[in-house]
Amino acid sequence: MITQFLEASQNKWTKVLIGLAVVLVLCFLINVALGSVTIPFESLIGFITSGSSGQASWDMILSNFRLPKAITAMLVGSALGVSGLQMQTLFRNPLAGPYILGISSGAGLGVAIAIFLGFYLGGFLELSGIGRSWLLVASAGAGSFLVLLIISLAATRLKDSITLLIIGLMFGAAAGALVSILQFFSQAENIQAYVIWSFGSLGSLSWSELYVFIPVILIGLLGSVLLSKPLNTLLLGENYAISLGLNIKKIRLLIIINTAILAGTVTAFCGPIAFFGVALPHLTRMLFNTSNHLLLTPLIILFGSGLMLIFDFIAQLPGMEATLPINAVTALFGAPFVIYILLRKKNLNYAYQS
Amino acid sequence: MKGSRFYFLAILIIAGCTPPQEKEQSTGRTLNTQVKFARKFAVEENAIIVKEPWPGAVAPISYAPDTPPQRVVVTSTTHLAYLEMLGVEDRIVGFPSTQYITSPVIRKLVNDGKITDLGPDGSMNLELLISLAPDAVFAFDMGSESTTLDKIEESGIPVFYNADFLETSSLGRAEWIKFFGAFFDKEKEADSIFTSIVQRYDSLKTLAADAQNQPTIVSGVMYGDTWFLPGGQNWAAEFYRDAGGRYLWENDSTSGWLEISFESVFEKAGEADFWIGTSTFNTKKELAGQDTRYTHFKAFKVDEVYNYNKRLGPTGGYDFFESAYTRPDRVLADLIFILHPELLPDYDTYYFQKLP
Amino acid sequence: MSLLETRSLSIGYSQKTAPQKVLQKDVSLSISPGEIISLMGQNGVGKTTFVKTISGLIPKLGGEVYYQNDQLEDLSANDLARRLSIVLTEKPYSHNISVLELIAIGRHPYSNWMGVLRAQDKEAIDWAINETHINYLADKKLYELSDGQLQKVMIARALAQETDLIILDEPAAHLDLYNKIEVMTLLRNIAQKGKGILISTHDMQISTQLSDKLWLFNFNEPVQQGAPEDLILDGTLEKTLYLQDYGYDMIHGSIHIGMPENGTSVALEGPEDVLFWTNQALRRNGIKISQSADTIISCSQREWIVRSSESSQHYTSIGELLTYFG
Repeated sequence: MITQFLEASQNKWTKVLIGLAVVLVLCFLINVALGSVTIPFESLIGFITSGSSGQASWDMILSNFRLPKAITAMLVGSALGVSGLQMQTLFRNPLAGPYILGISSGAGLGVAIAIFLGFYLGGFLELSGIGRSWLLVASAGAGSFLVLLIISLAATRLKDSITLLIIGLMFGAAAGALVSILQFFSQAENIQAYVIWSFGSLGSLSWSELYVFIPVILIGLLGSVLLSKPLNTLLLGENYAISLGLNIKKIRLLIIINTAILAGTVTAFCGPIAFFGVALPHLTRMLFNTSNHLLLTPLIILFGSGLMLIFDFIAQLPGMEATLPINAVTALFGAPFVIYILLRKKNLNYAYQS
Repeated sequence: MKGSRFYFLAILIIAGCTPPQEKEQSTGRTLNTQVKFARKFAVEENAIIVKEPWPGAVAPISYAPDTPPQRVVVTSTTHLAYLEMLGVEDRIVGFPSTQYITSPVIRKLVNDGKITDLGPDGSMNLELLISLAPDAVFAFDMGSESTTLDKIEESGIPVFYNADFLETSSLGRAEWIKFFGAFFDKEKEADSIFTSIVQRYDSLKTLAADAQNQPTIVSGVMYGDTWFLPGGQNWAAEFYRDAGGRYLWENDSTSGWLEISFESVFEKAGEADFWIGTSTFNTKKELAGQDTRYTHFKAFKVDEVYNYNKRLGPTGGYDFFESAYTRPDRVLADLIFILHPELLPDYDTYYFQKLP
Repeated sequence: MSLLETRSLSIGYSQKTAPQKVLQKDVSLSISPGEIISLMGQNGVGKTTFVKTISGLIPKLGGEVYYQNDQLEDLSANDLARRLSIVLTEKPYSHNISVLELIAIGRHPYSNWMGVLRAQDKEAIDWAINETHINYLADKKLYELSDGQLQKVMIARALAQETDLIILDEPAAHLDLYNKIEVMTLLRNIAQKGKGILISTHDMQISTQLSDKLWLFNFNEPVQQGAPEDLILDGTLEKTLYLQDYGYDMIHGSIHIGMPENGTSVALEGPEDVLFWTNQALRRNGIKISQSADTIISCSQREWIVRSSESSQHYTSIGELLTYFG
């Protein structure tokens, strides 16, 4: 009897996933086709099929700007969505997101130290030969990693997940305060450089950076898929999960590491991107009416990729020379979208038992 | 000015606000200065008027001439250059972030302890400033309330607003030497210095008008996802025009900075002949290290990238942000030499150099 | 062979800065396949601590716990999960999953990396659903279920875990009588199929009607165990649950709540069932029953006749009957 249900369910979800994948391809094409500079659709097709759009500047724009940006957007959207989901399930908190353990604050602190102590705009770089963009990546990554280390140590010693959450929040606050102090004593260009980093940027990854970014994010996403089963078990609550044989401490540590890889890498390469990681799991849960991680994870990966492509497309303000920072768009368009869905569904109560 | 956009705001009305500890009684000086190019200040017989003390100000401020100040604090490197040209730099007693000063004469004063460092200009050490007992502070404001300047005035020290950075014309900025000349009772010196600058500038401009072609120019760099470059009415744009070049955004009508997507810049300026003004990037390798897409620009490929970093102070200051306002003739000569080297065969650039 | 056996087990709490608090010591109990056992005792006596200790959630203070031939310490989390499943009063964190998804999570100890269900998993789930008669609920989300339905679903999840021993904490709390009977019937059926069932409860019906044995925990006294009827008749149950002041009706298995008397006495006669309920209503209103009283009430199925020296009144319901007494 259950077999029928399972088959029907599998059929349905396979169709949904395929449909979503098709939509994703569409979003990708839209994102790549439209930007500040108008490139005719036929030229775009020519570029895809034969590698050349007919104009050298367009080729350069497409292959060095739009394509890397679209790929980055997809990976960022899925990485933030999936890590947000994991944090919400682990901490049984609908307000949790990928940055709740202080990972992006740690990254920000790393970047602030690099910028405000003069490494970023100073002679150190000329001597060492490291490109500035890699310096930002490295310092942000180091900051995230440090926070991860401390949180992991705490996780192995603590029985209670809520305590861990609070420790993460406190870390975030402390890191933020340190950054403020550094800013206070700094010069204009440095503050500006830091502020611009904090706007988030999907379009500044070069192909050499993508060669690192893509595999790391893919590994993180694979890890999330493999964590789906224990995450599902956690949906019953920690006592039931333990009685089913789940090693809470080990799983908690794995989830934290996986989140740090996804959220930390995104922040290191693209700066902190707000709001998306908290909102996307809710949106996906509500739109597709499921809390099953085995389904939710691939759904979020596809839906998150597509949505971020759309947001990026909006941020590009196609047809206009100016652009918006991605953080503005994710919150500005994301928040009303979530509110709309919430009102239609009347409430979230059924999804969570506090 | 350090080239970035900091503004301090305070209003000082001299008439009727002098507290008892100030010694003055009016010397009754009458002023005699004509202002031709600058649009943000004017000098009348008995008043120095700043027409737009900070961006968006609704009312001008009028200052009455008084005993020339003997102990002054200035807050922008551009102010230093004017004072040095007038020979009154020894009256400077305090300055924020002295590490940015490039002038050797003034650096000596700093090293000798005659000029006190007042901390970052965003949050100057007020106690220190007041303890120096200056009789004037020359300040600038970006348009938001600055409680720092208010506090300085509360303590009885007059604050004079300087809007040199709001001038959009090359000679207009230089003419602010007359502003300082009026305060320090050096009007004649100011006038003669400025007149010779104007003469040199005009003859250079005429020379450049003879050039056979007008190479195209792109400027600025990316921050994050956005390219920052000067607008068509920006101070920089006028120089490009006068030097016989065609700045690709010269038709833009704003005088501030434009924020444009990389795509748009590349589409318009990917084939520009010259790339002038690369902010804090001083080698082509650094540019490439920030963003490999810069290497696709023609100017990058043919090695015609220039920045204003030829003259640096021993502690990191750029002379361009100090004396360039006062010497538009030097800036113009540099640019003419870059764009049309054949017109100035024996010239060596002052501020600009090619990026290695 | 017993499914679970404790030997001289001591349970309680051990804190770093305070001396050990021992709640129960020297506990030696066992459960065999097919047995339903109820664990009873006052709040705070250590019932929950006992359940958590034998489930491995908190450490024991002394003695041993055996699952068949294996000591608890020697079992991995996964091994233990295959021997013991629990049903708690706490509700799952997420109510947005379907009944089927919830039951499938019960297969956690058996399913592979990805949680993919194989043939034996599907069989176990099917069996669990059939036993609990919740086929019609299979594709509903948890938030669509009533309390009673949810409870049955949680039991089905424990069944899908295919353990020999199931522990339930107050399985019938908050259930309406209908659902409570259903759950009790379900548990009896499961026990008949060979599972051992341990219930921690305050409910008298579950403990006296459903259970084969009672384990009674008390403060500072050894554990009492035995058939429920034995423990009732020898007064142990009454004593352990501190019911002496109120009295336990040995014959009817109900608890007497003493009502103040107002001095009136009546004699009663009639068929046993009507007599019993009329008696209860009268006692509730303070009226004592005495065979030597002057007023006599004769009851039958639908009629009550009150005969006193002065009059004779007819009533057709107990509610009306009570109006005789003002």
